Amino acid sequence: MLPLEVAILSTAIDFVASGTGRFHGFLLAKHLRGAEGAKLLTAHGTLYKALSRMEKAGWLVSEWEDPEAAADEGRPRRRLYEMTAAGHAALARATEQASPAPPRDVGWNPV
Amino acid sequence: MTVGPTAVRVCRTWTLLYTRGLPVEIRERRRQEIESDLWEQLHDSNEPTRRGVLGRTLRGIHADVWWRYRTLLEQRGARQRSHDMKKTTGSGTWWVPVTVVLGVVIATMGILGLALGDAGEGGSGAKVLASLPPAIGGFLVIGGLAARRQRLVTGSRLVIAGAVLAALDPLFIPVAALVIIGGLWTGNLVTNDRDDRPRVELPGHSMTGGWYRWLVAAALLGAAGFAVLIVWENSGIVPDDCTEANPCWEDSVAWLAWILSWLSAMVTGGIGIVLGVLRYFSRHHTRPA
Repeated sequence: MLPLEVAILSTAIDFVASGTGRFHGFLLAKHLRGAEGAKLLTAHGTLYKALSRMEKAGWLVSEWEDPEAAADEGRPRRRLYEMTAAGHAALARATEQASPAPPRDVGWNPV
Repeated sequence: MTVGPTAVRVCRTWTLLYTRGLPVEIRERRRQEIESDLWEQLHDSNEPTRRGVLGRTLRGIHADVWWRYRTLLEQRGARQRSHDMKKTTGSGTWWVPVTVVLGVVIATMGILGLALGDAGEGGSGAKVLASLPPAIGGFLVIGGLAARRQRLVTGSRLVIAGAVLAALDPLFIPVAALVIIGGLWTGNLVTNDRDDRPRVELPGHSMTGGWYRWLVAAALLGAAGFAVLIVWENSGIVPDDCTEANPCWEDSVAWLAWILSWLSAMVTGGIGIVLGVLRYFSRHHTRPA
């Protein structure tokens, strides 16, 4: 899993924890920048390519929001993403692999 | 969107450009997503707009291009790719006849050289040795071409190896270069990811269609070599005591750069001419179904 994908899934968990649940691309870009302490927002191409790839992998699902809701606010409709159980599992695996393995006992131990 | 119109225009134009020609559903989704993102950014009071939008667009260009490439490949599907591969590696392409001619010519030259060499007449055997590369190269090219029907990658590698041997004779460098380039593309040797086999000729972007670019490159190379020589001659870097009878290394380097650039220009221009001629006569296009 790429670092950006880990960051996206971690942010998605934060969204769930904060009660947001579903998120759109720009909101994600803002949170990613805040989480990483970066100055710049993630580039369009990088962000949406990653989201597309993660959706194909089954880690995220997405759908267009209700057009009426967008029209009421006078803005284009958002594509809303949500993390799946497979996404949770993938993030857990990635975190497990990234964490250092416990030291092995390499000493001679005659039984 | 009244803020940062140029940046927004650049972003929209770029999005329209790289999503052009994609399936409607994918194209519209990406365009609408970017449009929504733009709106959100421009209406977010905490975001610097103009530079921010432009920067996000520019920094993501490589990802956009790669995404488009992957999307096109995925849409085509394995079956269609296989079909395209047959079309592009079949007898209908320009590459096969050129490769056959190269193989036959250098194999014949090699065989004649081996048969009529001077080894048996008290000679040094130099002619026989010199005939070995084209003879082997010719057989590799022809054998590889035949093998490609069953084993595309292996056959293409053999063809390329044969063409490299053919290129040892400067006379064959342009044609051999063409065969090598075509072999790399048609043999799927350009990428490591075999699932992402590139099509040889994208619509409107056939290999022969770019013939003029080779000529432009040749002209630039030649001009660069000429410029190196002019600058060198007038720069005063060459010591006064450097003469033809007593050349200095600085002078040799300048001449070497000039000769190399002109040789490169000749090879590049040769490829352009051959491609242009093929383009003129064949007008070959491979279009996706």
